[in-house]
Amino acid sequence: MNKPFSTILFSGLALLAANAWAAEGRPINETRPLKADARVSVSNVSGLIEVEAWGKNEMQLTGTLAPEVEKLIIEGDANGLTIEVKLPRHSRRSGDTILKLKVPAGIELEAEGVSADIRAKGLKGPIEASSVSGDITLDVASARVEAQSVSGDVAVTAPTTDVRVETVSGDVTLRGGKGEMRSESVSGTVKVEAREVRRLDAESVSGDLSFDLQLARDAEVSIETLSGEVVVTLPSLPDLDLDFETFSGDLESAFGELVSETHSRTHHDDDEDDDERGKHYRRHGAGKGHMHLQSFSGDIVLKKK
Amino acid sequence: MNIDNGKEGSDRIEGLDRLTRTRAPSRDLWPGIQSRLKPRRSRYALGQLALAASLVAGMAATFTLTLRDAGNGLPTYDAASIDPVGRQSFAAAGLTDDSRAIVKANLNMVRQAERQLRKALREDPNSPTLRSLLASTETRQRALSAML
Repeated sequence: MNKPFSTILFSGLALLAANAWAAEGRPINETRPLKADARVSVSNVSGLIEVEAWGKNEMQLTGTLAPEVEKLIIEGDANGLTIEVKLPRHSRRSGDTILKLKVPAGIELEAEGVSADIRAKGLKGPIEASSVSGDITLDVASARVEAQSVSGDVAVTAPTTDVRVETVSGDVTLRGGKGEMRSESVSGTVKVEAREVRRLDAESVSGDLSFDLQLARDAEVSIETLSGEVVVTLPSLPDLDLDFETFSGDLESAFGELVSETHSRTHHDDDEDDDERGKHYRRHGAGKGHMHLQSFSGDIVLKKK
Repeated sequence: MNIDNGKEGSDRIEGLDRLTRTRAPSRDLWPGIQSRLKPRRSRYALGQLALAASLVAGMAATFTLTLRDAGNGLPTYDAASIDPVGRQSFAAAGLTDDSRAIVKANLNMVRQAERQLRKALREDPNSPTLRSLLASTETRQRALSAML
């Protein structure tokens, strides 16, 4: 092989290799000491933040940096770490950066993304997660969870005693919680499966709301929607103060006594109009709590488990 | 070390570089220097932080306002202080184009719902349910508008 040709060939191969490396992103492999109850803050613009519990008092960070990333910042000490993916100034778009962390289960986690998905598994400490368009999926043992998104879906499976989730159009799924729960969405659906619920507040504008609940004796429940459908599944009608009202939707119940006491709020004398279906049901219970279901045009459906 | 490339020349002291450096100053000069230093932070980092922080603050404010204004007769949570600064920074930080479009679409939906509620209130002005729903809807509309 003559020299000029081999030089060109090797240069070309080197360039191809460099391009391939850049396109695939730069690998990350970092380890830091981390206390079991430390606070960890992670932010990523696009891609993934994945946090998993392990048995070591260390933080291990692996994954890949998108080619556009200026640098990965890791600051702090064993009491608290901040991890931030930094893009060049004025850069608005980026390829995906994948951050995979392994941390002690008891850490307090704060994760923030723009279009990055956020996933956590096995953690026991409190979690705050927010993403604009990324999905948030938490399968954890944490008691306290807060999650917010604009269009990303939020799914929390955890024995929470205090969970709070808010979205604009993202769907919300909460499973395994008890105690206090709050969920809000504009057009996203909300599904909740919970036991020993002491406090539940849920709202939507058009998103459907679905609940599979076992209520505490003094539970305070407030569910409100404008045009979404509310479906509540219960083992029995709770012995609480009940107040169910829909302005123009329908009120259906698997509990016979509810149907017998329901009255049409828009029927006047003999002038019945089937198109005007507004209904209101009230009943005082022996328990201290309240259950308040309210809609404008959405149906309210009570199902028996 | 920060390098002055001359762009901030108006802040330089004439003849400073000709002073001798072998003699210590007679007083502590640091307080004067410190007060003239400007913090240097990445605008992008600030933008990202503001976006993330405002997402939390803005939605927390939305949620708190909605709960507070719901007026459904049930006891509410201890209302955390509403953070108008957080809501402003949400607006200032800006969303991506896609997210902005989603928020706008949802805002239109809320506005339409508000019109329907007002129409229903004209027919049934004493309905506490309608008033409560309207209060929630107005609060949500303000919160979504603040995000844009």
